Amino acid sequence: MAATVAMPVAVAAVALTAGLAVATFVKAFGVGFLAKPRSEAAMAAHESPSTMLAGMGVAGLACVVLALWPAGILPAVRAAVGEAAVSGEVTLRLTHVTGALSPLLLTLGLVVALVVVAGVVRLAATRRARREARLWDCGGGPMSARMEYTATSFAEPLQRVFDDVVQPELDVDVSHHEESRYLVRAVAYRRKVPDRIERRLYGPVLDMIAAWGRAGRGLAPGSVHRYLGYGFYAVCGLLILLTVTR
Amino acid sequence: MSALGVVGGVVQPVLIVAGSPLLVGLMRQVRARLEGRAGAGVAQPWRDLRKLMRKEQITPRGTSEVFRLAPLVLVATTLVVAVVAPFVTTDSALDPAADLFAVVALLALGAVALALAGLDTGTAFGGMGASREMTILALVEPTLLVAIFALSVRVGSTNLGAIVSSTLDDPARVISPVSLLAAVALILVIIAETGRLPVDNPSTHLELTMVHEAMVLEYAGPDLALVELASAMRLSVFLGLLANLFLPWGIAATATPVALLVGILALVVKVGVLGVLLAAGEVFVAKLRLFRVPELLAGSFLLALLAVAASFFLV
Repeated sequence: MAATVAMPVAVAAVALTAGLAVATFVKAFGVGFLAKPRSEAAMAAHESPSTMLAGMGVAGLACVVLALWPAGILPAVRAAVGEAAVSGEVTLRLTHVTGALSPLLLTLGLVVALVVVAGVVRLAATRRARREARLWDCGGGPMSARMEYTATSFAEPLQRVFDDVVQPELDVDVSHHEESRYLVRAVAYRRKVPDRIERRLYGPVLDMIAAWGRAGRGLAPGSVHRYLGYGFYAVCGLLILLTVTR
Repeated sequence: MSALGVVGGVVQPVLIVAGSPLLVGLMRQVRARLEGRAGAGVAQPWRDLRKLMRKEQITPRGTSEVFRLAPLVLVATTLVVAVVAPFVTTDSALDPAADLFAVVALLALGAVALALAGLDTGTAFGGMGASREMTILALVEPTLLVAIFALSVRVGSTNLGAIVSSTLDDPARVISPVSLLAAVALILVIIAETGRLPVDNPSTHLELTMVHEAMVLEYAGPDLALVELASAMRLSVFLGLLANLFLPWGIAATATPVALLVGILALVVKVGVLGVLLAAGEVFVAKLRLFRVPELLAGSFLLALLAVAASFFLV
C-alpha cells in the first residue's frame, strides 16, 4: 500500500528533476563555454597549463567510461549493498522488473547515425567551401556581448514558472540623469535565489544553538569560585540522587 | 534481434525520412485550404529541402563546432528513434534502445544540441530561443516520461515494443482511465514539444513570439535543410508514438510482406489523420502568451501524474 502511494510521487519527482537537470546543463555549458567574453579580463583569458588540464581530463574520462560502461561499478556496489538491482555487462537489465538499457549500444547507434547523416549531407550538398557571414543583427550594426543572454536571463522564464517554490529576490535600481527624471542613465538588475531549505530549516536551528552558546557563556564568566561552586552542587546533587534511588 | 526487428529497423527510418516532409506539406495544405488559400502543395517541403541543399554552406562569425554539429546531432537522434521505436513493427532492431527512457532521452538530446547551438551564436535571438525552448522542455520531459511510464506499469516493462504488443493482445486497455488520462497528457505535450500552436507558431518570424525559429535563425543552406528535416521527423516520430501507444492496430507483428505492407499503410494513415486533425485544430486557436504556456504544461503534468496514480491503484 505504501508503495502504491509513494511510487507515483517518486516518479513525478524523478521526472521533474530530469527535466530541470537538462535545463541546468544547457545553462551551465551554454553560458559558461559558448558565450562571448563580457569583460577585458575574460577576453584575455588563456588556457591553463597541460598538467592542470590532465587532472580535469582524468576525472572527465572516468565519467565518460562510467557513462558508457556502468557495469564496471557493479562489483563495488554489490560489495556495499549485497545485491545490485541491475545485472549485465553491455546491456544492463533490472533484476525485479523487465527493463533493459544499453548506454554503449545506444552511443554506438548514435555515432553510426551521425556518420550516415554527415555522409549523406556531403553527397547531397554542394561542394563549395563554407563561407563566413555576419550574424543577423536586424541591420543595427555589430552585436555587443552585452546584448547576449546571460545566465540570469536564460533562467528567468524557468524561475518565473517556479516562482512560488524558489521565491527569488529581485532588485532593480534605476538611476536617472541629473537633467531629467525621464532619461534613464543605468539600470542595475539583480536576481538572487536564496536557498529556502537553508533559510527556513537550518537558519532557526543554527540560531537556537548560537543562543544556547550565548547563555552558556553567561554561566562561565571565568571565576574560580563559581566553578568550585558548580562542582560542589553537582556532587551534592549526585549524593542526594544516590540516597533517594538506592 | 529478430528478422522482424531488422526489417523494421530498415523500413521505419526510410519511411519517416521520406514521409515526414510530406506530412508537414499535408498539414500546411490543410491549413491553407481551411483559411481559403490555394496552398503550395503537399510536396513543397521536399522542394524547399532540395533548394536549401543546393545552396552554399554559411558559417556565421563567432560560432564554434557546437553550432555546426547541432543539426547533425538533431537528425541523428531522431533517426535512431525512428530505427528503434515501434512504428511499423513491434520488434526493435536494437532492443535495449527501444526503452521508454532511452527514447525520451534521445529526443531531449536533439533539443539540447539545438539549444546549445542557439546559445553558441551569441545573439539575443539565439539566447532567447534557447531559454524559452529549455523552459518548455524542462516541463515537457517530465510529462512525457510520466505519461508513458503510466502505460508501462501494467505491462511491467518500460520497453515500448512490449507496451505496444500488450495493447494489441488486450484491446480493452485502450479505454481504461489510465490510457485516456495518459493520452490527453501526451497530446498536450506533443503539441508543445513539436512547437505547434498554441505553444509556438511554426510559421512566425516575429521576434516576440518565436521559440523554435529564434534558435535556428542563423542557420542557412544545407544546415537549415537538416534542421527543417529534423523538426519534420520529430513531428512524425511523436505522432507515430502517440498513434501506436494508444491505437496500435495494423502494426506488423510477423515478418511477412503482407503484414509489413499493412503496418506501413496503417502508420501512414494514422499519422496522416493525426496530422490533419492537428492542422485543422490550429486554424481555430491563437498562440498563448509564453507565460501562460507553463499553466497548460502543468495541467498536462497533473493528468500524467493522475494516470500513474490510476495505474497503481486500479490494477
